[in-house]
Amino acid sequence: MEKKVFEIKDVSYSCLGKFPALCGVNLEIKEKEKIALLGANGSGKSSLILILNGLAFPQKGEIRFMGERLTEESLEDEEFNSFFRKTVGLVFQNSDIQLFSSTVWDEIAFGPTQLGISKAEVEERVNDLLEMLDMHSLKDRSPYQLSGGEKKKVAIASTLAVNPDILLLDEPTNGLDPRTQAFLMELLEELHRSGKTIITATHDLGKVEKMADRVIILGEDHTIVTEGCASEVLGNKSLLLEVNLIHEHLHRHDDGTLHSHEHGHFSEHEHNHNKYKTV
Amino acid sequence: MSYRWLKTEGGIAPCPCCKIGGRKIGFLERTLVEVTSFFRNGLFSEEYAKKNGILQRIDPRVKILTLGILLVAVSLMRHLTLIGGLYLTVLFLAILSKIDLKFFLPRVWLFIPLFSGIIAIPALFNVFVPGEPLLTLITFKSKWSVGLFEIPKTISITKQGLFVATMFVMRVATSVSLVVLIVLTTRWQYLLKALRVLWVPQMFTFIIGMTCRYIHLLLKLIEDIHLAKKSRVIKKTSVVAGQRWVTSQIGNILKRSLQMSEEVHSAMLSRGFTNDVRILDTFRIKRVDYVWAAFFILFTSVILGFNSILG
Ligand SMILES: Nc1ncnc2c1ncn2[C@@H]1O[C@H](COP(=O)(O)OP(=O)(O)O)[C@@H](O)[C@H]1O
Ligand SMILES: [Mg+2]
Repeated sequence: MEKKVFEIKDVSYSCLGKFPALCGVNLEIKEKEKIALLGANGSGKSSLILILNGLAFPQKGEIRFMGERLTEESLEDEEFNSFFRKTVGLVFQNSDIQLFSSTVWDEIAFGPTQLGISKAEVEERVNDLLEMLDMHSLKDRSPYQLSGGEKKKVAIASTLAVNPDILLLDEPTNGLDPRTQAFLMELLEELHRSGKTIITATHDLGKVEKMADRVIILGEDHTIVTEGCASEVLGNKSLLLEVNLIHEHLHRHDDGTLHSHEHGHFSEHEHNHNKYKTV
Repeated sequence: MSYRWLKTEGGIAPCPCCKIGGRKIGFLERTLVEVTSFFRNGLFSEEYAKKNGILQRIDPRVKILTLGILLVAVSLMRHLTLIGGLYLTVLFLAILSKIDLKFFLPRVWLFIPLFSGIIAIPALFNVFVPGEPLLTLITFKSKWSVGLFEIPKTISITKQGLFVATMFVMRVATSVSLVVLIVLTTRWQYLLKALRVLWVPQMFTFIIGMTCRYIHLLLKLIEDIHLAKKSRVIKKTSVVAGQRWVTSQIGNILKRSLQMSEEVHSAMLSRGFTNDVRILDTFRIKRVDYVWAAFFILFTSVILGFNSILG
């Protein structure tokens, strides 16, 4: 039995105290799990991720990290803060805000430097990451001189540089080209195999099965609607329809038959049918 | 799609006016866009810092230190020829650093009147620096006084005044050229880092760096908002409406930048930032830096020697 890393009990959170983002959420996350947080836009995925990273604090309920309560006060403790930041890393949804250093090199070095890692070690990590993500030519650029996809890669590198045991990713594949998406999926898989806990927020149904063993679905009412293993949850079409992750789609085929089926918001729009086997 | 208006029926209608260039964006809007693109492209382009010239190869710390020593030497010079010589040296360094003089000279001399004009111009006249008159401008009936100053009978440009003013302008020109040279040949992030490593407090340079980053995000935001508006505008808006739009956007941008700064702060917290920044010093002194430093110290000493021999 793996140990629990996060315990969330009856957490409610609203942005600026008036826009509800999470309502009565209960959740346990164990070490070495691979989890996908699934939900339509505005369902509260980002909010939950921020709470898991100790950047937002619920108005109601409590969250524990390794048995310790995660609050603004507990994170003021230098030792706990350092331990928590070393253990949990977050790749933000918006790379623009995550990148604030003057060069790509400095950006990747920022995290480990703050955590007091030796200079030689920091240099090794940064150079390894630059190599892994094939970004050596960009190392002296300023993050604002990069394309959206490149920014995302730098953001991922700058989080990995801390070598967190628990990796939180907020819609990491958004805005990446298919090749980089495939590379990232591969990378996450590899990181998971090396013992990391991975929690990814997404609304890309096509990738969930690869990204997660356990799927947690947030509904538009900001509650957890269901959770279970990926194949089980993804098989429940009526539920996915209900939380607005897929939508029913009517279209006429060449032979004139009317055809109806459900599909997700993105990749599944491009599909092929055998026209004689329609419903 | 079932909306009545969201259809294209009978193809794209012909344009009723089709006079490209008819609609002009308003002055205020255009200025805003020009200012932002100047900052984004002009100031931060680092075109010269990326060239492969002599100063670009010197370690930023060594560069700042040696040119800083030269800066002090400039202020000690009492001979016009020596200052002139130093000025030519700076120009020579600019050429060796592959800086286009057509770009360099106007930019330096544009700023000099700002810095020095206020001081240098009065010095020309015998009112402030008495001496042999070179050119008499006005002759009064008798001398008179304004407050502390005694206005002489004739107001003229004096030889001594001309010397003082020229010295002053040349000093400022040489110093400004030196500073501009450092800034142009160093990428600003390294400049900040070098300053930080040398003597400027870390928090200070970190804040400057962050400010530059914010300015960037802000400028990008302004450009994006402008583009978003441009792609939606169909009818030419009146000047007043345009101005109102700009002012409302400024409020909007401020609000968004506040939110942005909060978000950036949380992104920093997420990676272990705890209000006292740690910075990695990654500069390495190479042989070229030693050679350069040795040469420069020798050069400056020689010039200073001449300065004292000449009295
Ligand atoms: N900056 C904000 N200000 C006010 N409300 C917000 C803000 N960010 C998010 N919200 C609200 O919180 C809810 C959850 O948002 P979020 O966690 O970003 O969802 P998701 O990541 O699933 O799209 C949304 O309904 C939204 O209205
Ligand atoms: Mg989100």
